Amino acid sequence: MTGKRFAPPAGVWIDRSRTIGFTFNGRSYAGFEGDTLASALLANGVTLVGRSFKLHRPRGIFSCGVEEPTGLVDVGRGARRIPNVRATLLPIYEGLVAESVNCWPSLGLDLGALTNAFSGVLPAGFYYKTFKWPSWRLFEPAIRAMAGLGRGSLEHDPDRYEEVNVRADVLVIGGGIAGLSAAVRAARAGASTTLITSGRTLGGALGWRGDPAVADLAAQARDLEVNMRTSTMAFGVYDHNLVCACETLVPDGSELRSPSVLRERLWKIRARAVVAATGAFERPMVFPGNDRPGVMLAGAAEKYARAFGVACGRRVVVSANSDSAYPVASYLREQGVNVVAIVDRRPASLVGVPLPAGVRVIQGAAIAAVAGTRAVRGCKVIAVEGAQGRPEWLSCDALLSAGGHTPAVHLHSQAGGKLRWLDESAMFVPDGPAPGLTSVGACAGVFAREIVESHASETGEALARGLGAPPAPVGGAGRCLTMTHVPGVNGKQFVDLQNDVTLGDVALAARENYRSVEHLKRYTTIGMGTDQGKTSNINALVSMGEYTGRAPPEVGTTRFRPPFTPVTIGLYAGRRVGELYRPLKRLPAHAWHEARGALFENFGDWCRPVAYPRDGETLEMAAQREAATVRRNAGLFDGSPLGKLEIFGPDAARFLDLMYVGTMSTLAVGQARYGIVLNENGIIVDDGIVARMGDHRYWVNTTSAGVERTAAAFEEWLQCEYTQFQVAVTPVTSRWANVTVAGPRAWEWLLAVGFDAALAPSSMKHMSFRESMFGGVPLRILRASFSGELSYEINLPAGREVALFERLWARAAEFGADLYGIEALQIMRVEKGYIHIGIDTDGTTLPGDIGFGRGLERKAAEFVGRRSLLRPAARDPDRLQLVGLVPTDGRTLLPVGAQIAPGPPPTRTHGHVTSSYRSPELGKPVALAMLARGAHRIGERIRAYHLGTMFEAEVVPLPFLDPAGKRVHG
Amino acid sequence: MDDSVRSEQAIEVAGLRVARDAVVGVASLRYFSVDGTFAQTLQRVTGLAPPGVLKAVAGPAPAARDWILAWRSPTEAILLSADHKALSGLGAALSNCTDGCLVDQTGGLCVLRASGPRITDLLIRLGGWACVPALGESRRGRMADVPVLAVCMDGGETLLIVERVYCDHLLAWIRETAADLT
Repeated sequence: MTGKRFAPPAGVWIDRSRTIGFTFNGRSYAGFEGDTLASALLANGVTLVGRSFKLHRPRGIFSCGVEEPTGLVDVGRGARRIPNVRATLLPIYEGLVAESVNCWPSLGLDLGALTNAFSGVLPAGFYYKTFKWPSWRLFEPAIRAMAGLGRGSLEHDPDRYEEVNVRADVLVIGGGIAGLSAAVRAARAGASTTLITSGRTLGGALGWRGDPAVADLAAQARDLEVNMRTSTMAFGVYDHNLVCACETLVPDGSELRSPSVLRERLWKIRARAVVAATGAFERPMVFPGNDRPGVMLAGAAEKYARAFGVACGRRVVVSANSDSAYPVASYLREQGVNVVAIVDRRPASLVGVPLPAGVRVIQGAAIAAVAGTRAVRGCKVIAVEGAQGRPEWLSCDALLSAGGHTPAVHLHSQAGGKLRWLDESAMFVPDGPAPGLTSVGACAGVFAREIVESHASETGEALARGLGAPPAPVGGAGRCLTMTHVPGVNGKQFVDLQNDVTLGDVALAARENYRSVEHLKRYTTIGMGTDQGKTSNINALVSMGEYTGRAPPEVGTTRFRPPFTPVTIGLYAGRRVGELYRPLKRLPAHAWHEARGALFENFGDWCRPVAYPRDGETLEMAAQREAATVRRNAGLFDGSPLGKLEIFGPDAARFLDLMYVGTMSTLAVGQARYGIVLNENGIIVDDGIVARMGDHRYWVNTTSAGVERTAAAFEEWLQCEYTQFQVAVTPVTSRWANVTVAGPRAWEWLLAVGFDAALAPSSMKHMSFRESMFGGVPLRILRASFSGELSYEINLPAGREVALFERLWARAAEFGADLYGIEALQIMRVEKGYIHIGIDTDGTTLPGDIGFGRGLERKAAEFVGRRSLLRPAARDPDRLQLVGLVPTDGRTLLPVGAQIAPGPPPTRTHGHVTSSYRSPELGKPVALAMLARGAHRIGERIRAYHLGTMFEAEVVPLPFLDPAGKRVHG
Repeated sequence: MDDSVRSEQAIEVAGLRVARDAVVGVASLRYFSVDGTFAQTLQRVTGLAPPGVLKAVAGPAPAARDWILAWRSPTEAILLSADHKALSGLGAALSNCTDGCLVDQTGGLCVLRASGPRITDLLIRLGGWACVPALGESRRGRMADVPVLAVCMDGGETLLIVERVYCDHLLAWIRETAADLT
């Protein structure tokens, strides 16, 4: 076929005065402003557009909208190359570059097409039962390489995406006559109304048919201040009437915008009531060769003619199972197209419209074959089911398919609505409204124009007033046969064009006893892919029903899930890329550490100095030096991320007793105590230090990563269980920075820079807390230690810490002191056998497992998790218990995660290594491990296995260093 | 807009200005009763009672903006004052109360001042519609994936109160969003 444009008034969407150049498969073409790539290609006589997914069969444009299964192209170049773009939706623009998908070396000469010759050994699910010998993995790479469609860019997406959250009383999805009618009446009833439509213009099918009612309703909607958005596709309905929609701001693949533009906008619309007016898709007929380029939906051919002025063929045959075929044939004939015949599958008794004058109608007949490979050249017509007539060949260059209609019930289904089968029109329609969502127009099964308008209007008004919607007056689609295919004819009859699924595949699935439509989908891939079966689902389940002796409602449909159409990952991500990928917490003194050579790593949500390497030092070397310096002299550490809570209230002491294994109510003001937080199952979820600031006020340190979790747990207990308690939990982590000075010379150093002598170790003991002033700045100082050394954790208002760092750093050399990072701290805490929650513990660890069983015995009062600790399983002596390990050779670092077992895997393990470092102080590697009956295995030699290597170690008691704890006292 | 707002961080596009107020003092008021000793002392010192649900109040002289109290939860209000001395004085006055306390959060909670007719356009791009405050409202919600308390004290200005550790993230998100507000 060569391209042809009809004369105006056909082509209401194009501007013939503006010609646009574009490239397809390296060849230049021209179209008009308003054309889609599909309409422009058809106007240029291009029918072969791509190759199919599995069999590489030639494919053309099949539809004129979102349901397009075959007209997929890759658009753009470089970073803006977008795969699998539906040519039916892509507006052309100057410089557009598009390529066919799934073909090599070219669309015309595609070597992959050889698979079609072997299609007999490639039925549905072939990969489950063939290519198994000698190994599936031998064939898998080649099969995967041959399958698939377009190729996306591997470069960073240069464009931007944003998210907008709005609300509305009534949200109308769809800008056709039904949607406009509902929106106008809802707005007139006083509801704040939003209307979104995927189309570039309002009006839907009546819009491109030039119906004057569209302009009138659109004007009314504007006057009533209905918030209307075009090019906005609703793709998902979620809980509580949340509708998500994608607004396309610039066409796919355009390189004219640079360096970056806002490409798409995600609308999150929360509505009191949602009206779906999403129309219906045309159902294709199933016949041999129904995938050939030139076979397309009849409604699409009409839309190409009316909206774009494009003739899809010069000699056309219409294959019909619906009354809708007749007006299409009439219109095309009026435009000068030679409509060779309407081949109606139905008997004459089912035809509900007048036969068009001058068009041959063959009733009770069907297409039995299509001639032509890359373009339709003709078709064979046979009589079916008792009708009279001899087979005959009709010459044509386009074969239009009008199998009936399929209401777009996807949003209704996503909202939880049920469906019912309407036998006379062979379609599923909504069985009443879905929760929060009411369908109107064709998607509700209402096809008669006048009824559509009145029902949609009444629905809009009722929902605006908070009333129930009137029942949908379903009907007007005419009578269709349920089955559109022809039994007993040769040739591939495609049910799903995008996935190359034929009637034979469905029959095979039925023979193999896949009876559920969900299993059929997964076995054959019907309904998958970019089109999600919009043109295939009904034919698939009808044929499945036929092969299994069931009616369509017995077969049912697959569950429709979001998204309705493909959504870019960029749209979901929105602003969450690069620096905004997630909120990363930085230390208030980040720049100060950076200036001193800090190497940063992310620990949970925090970006922290891991070490301060000097020239030529590796991270491990730096950490070894820093840890040794702290042990020998002193070190300076930024502990600002440490979780901090203020607990206030007359019941604060009682509450903390309940929250911690330790008893906090007996703390005197100024005293501090280590505590473990459990959940109700007795599992350790956090630890930290509680200090008493006053009668009713406590300072609580949690782990850095656990502060939000712990604060939330405290709040939950207060709000849900201990509601009579007067306790306030106030997170203050951001308010207070933390400067920690540790090491045997820590106090000398602090004294030298002017700290109050009352803070000396002799008067301020380990595990005590003081409020003090330094240079006019309030301090909260805790004598606690995670390094095992004399340590002062100095908390001061955020923003003031740099000045303190500077003062200390200026005198550091005098005391042989240095900065130290997280890695050195980890070394020191392992030397001391201190656990790190989430590293040495997991979701099974109980206090007794880490040596805190005595807390249970000593504490008479209740606390969260206590009852769970009394279970026999919690007291099982075979539980994993915290132990120390040293390698028997004194040199080899035990890998974290190594499994402790009597033999190599597969063997039941006895435990695993949780933390492991080389100790500069001890001159050998040390490790922590969780080991079954660990407390009773001290002195035992064990084996640990990691990635095929065996390590030998000895179980030793903890801590490795300073068991008497003299160092922390100074 | 207060002159003390650090102009070097201001984000300005047509119809919108967002800047960090680095001067204002911030405190959490935690209380177990809205008419006990704590509330009475608060009222005596500031002239303000704990705000009602989702409410924000200012006073005693609105033009002077001595105090702003914004509801955050049934037991918490956020107090803003540019007068740090007065804030300290209030803290001292409340220190003996057993039915409530003041927790100084200055430096821990940051305040962004957003002004201009396009504030709503900005806010609905940062988070859900439910966190957009009406005049005299204080709404806690998620903006730019972090917790924010949004307070609208008059038609022209909305305060965004956010933890210091999230402030740079929120500002960066606002900067990108504002650039696309065309």
